[in-house]
Amino acid sequence: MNKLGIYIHWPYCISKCPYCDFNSHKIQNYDPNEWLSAYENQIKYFKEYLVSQNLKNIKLSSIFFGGGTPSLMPPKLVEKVLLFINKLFNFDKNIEITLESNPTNLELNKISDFKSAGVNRVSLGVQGLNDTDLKYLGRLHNASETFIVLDLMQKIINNISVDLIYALSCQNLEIWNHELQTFLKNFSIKHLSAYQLVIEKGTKFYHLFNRGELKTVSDNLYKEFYFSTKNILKDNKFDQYEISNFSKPNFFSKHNTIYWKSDNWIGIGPGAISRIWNNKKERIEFENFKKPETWLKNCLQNKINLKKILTINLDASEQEILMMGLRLNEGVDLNKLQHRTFLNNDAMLHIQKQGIINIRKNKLMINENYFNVHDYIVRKIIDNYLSS
Amino acid sequence: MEDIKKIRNFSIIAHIDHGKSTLADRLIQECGALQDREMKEQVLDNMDIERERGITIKAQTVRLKYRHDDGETYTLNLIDTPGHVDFSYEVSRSLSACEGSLLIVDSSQGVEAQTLANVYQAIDADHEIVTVLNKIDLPASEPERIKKQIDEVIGLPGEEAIEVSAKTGAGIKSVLSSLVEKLPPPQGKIDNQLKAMLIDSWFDPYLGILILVRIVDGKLFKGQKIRFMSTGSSYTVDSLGIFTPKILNVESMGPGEIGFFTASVKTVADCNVGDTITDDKKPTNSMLDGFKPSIPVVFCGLFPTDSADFSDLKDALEKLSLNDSSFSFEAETSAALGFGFRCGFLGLLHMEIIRERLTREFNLELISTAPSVVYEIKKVNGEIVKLHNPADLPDANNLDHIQEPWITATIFVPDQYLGSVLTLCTERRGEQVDLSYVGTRAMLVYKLPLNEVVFDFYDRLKSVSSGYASFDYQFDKYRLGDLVKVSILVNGDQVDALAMITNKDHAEKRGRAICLKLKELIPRQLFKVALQAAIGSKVIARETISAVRKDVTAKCYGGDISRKRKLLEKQKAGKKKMRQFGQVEIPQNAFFEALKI
Repeated sequence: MNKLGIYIHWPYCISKCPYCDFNSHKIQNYDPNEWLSAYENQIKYFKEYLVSQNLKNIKLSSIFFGGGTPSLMPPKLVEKVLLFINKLFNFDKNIEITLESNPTNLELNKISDFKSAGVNRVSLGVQGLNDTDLKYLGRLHNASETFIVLDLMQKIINNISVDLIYALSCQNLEIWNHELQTFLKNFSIKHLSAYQLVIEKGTKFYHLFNRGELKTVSDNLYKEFYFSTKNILKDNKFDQYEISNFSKPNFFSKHNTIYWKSDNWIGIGPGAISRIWNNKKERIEFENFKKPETWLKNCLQNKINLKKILTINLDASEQEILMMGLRLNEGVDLNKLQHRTFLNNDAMLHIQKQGIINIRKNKLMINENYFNVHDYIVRKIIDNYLSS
Repeated sequence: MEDIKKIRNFSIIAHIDHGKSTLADRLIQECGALQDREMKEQVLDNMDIERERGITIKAQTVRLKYRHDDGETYTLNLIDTPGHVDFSYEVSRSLSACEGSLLIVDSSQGVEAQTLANVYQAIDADHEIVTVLNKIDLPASEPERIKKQIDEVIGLPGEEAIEVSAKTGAGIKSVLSSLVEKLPPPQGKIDNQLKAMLIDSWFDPYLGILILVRIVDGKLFKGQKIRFMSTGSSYTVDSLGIFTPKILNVESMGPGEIGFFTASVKTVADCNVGDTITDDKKPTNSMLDGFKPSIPVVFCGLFPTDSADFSDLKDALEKLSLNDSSFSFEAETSAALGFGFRCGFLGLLHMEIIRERLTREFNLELISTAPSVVYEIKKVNGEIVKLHNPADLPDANNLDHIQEPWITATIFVPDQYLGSVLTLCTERRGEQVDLSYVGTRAMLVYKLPLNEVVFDFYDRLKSVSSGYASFDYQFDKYRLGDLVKVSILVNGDQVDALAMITNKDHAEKRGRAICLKLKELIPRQLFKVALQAAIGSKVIARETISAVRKDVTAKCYGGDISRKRKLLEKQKAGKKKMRQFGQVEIPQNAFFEALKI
């Protein structure tokens, strides 16, 4: 648990997408200087905390600007934030600095400035590969603009990750397969996150779904979508390293891997969450105020408050390590689970015999053919069953 | 002590919903035993369950003072009796403590199955019967037609029936004076040796074990040393009392009186219902006839959801049996459900009530298996065994034959539903004994295997007759049956708690139905699950539950972890309602619901 990443949340978007349950808001007037001061104050706050826990020399592996739509930030603001972080932290020499971006001309025009600010990886919200899907998802860009922007952006930033959402009720499996194959042939993508559409609480899709105005694909079809997508990516020389994440060799997301391996990260900005291992080897969770105005006002004071700071108990902490670690193809390091009283050995043995989970070199992993039931397996493993 | 000539002891008998408890309330009120403000509806139904379901479970007694037209004050001892068929033994014990009965018939509905069953019991007990037509305030009331019915169907003089409305109070006075005039006073001599019949006993948290008795001869008084004749154990009477319906302590009781006493009795096992209680120093040499003890006819397994609650369940069952000696329990172990108890009940309603009380009053979460009747097994070596649990059926090569209990059922049903009731009885292997008409209603008498009745016959009967059919039964006899054990296998392993005994001709149909039902009840697992029904090694039905196809969080990053973990906790709690059987998770309700087909 010796890696450290910083997540910076920018909460504004041009419009809210109907599937999105992130802490995002329609953009409004803001003062970039206020935001810079607030970001700086909170970065300083965490730096002091790390020092108090004897972690002042820890190297920074990654920085991630997420949102909202952080590509709407002025490049100057990004640059100043990065400069400030650089003053307080030692950067790893291969530090990964990612910025989430929409695939539109607006961003294309700013990309060189972001690059000179220090950004070396872009996570591009492509989401759909044709206009019907994009419209269904409430995206403002169209497919042809997206492809042009992607092509040009790749010439500036080598490390581009593409986000896709699939298994939509408007999609046909064969057409999706074909589109994905064509897309991969036309663009040399280094990293791809492919998410099945999930109807999240509180979203527009959720309300439509509850009123019966939105259909979802059947579990059967879902499974077919998942495995055919997985196979196509494999055929195109992608490694699947996580349930929904695929990369060319050495292009896996360092920042996101910090989450899955339960390392340390600092969350800056409204609603962001941090998890840090303190000097007593306890995991501490920090939660920021969610409303942008509240967070901003608070972080502009001399002494800042957080919404919540709590020590995660040992059981819960190890359950998190397990739950997150099993998302990775390489599995979870059992050395990280010293306590593990919650593990159900009988259940584990049962499913190990069937090849659903494997243990190799002290790592526990889910057979990738069962990634579609990851949650089920996690529940099964950590359940305290009523034994018969 | 009361003047024996001025005592009248009577039971109230009626079909469910004919207004028995309301009429009792009205009699209590008329005699001024309770102030109006103390009256709550159905005073005698003590338990919450009784009041909620509108049924009487335990017989209750009350002593009333009634001033008759002759200027004398009489003591009326009323025993309210349960109306449901399951509790007919309670009726018989109440009847044996009285000289007469008040028969209530709903003047809009007429004679029903329980009316008949109970009135025959009363006639058998040599009771004088005062007939009452209740609910005459209803527009649908037809007193003249019902009087004729009472004449024709029961054989009692219908024209003597008193027209009453328990709701408005009309006719209540005539009921009271009829009771005084028509019922005989009790017999018995105060100078004889003490002879008291034990009617009931129950546990009261303040007073300990209360023993309800009817004094037949002699005198029972405070400080007296008494003896239970069946066990020979003796105790000293601590206190005596009567219900008015409030408890009123008295110093002594004489012949004909009904009341309770306490004597620091530690176990209800000492209190055999129907036993004779006598004076320890001057005992009588002749015991009272007593009455048949109740025998459990329906058995099911009760298991704690959480195996840690086993001893709590044991305590709860022991406490309940203090109040209800009519159910039995013994420890049982199931491969599927762990440690629990095999419990015997008087019928399905009785079973439901006990289960509900365990959940409600003792806060226990239970899994119950499907109910089964008691089979008589003859083994090849000649040994005869009573089988309470289908899973215990010996191998076929050890088995000579199986006998199953049959009942005689009486069903009253309006003409237009007769066809569907006949079909139901035939489906359940019934044999028609009699079919006659009472006005536009048919009275059916059928012989039926109890096995076919025990689970959902009553529910089905109500549903095919839109609720109009009434039903009562009596045990008939054991008969040779063409019976087989159907085992249920989940992924090849037998689930003992799901085994059942059924008629051979019905086995395949039932096996198929159970597999289908289980397919609905058992959620999908990581792999395919095979469900099979088998007789011996022969598979007679099969279903497959396909594997779960989607259960994953597509997106999970730093901000999602807490929420995700909390969801996991919640789902884990839901899992507690599952039993791990081999590699398959079976929901706890499946063990009961699966056989409800």
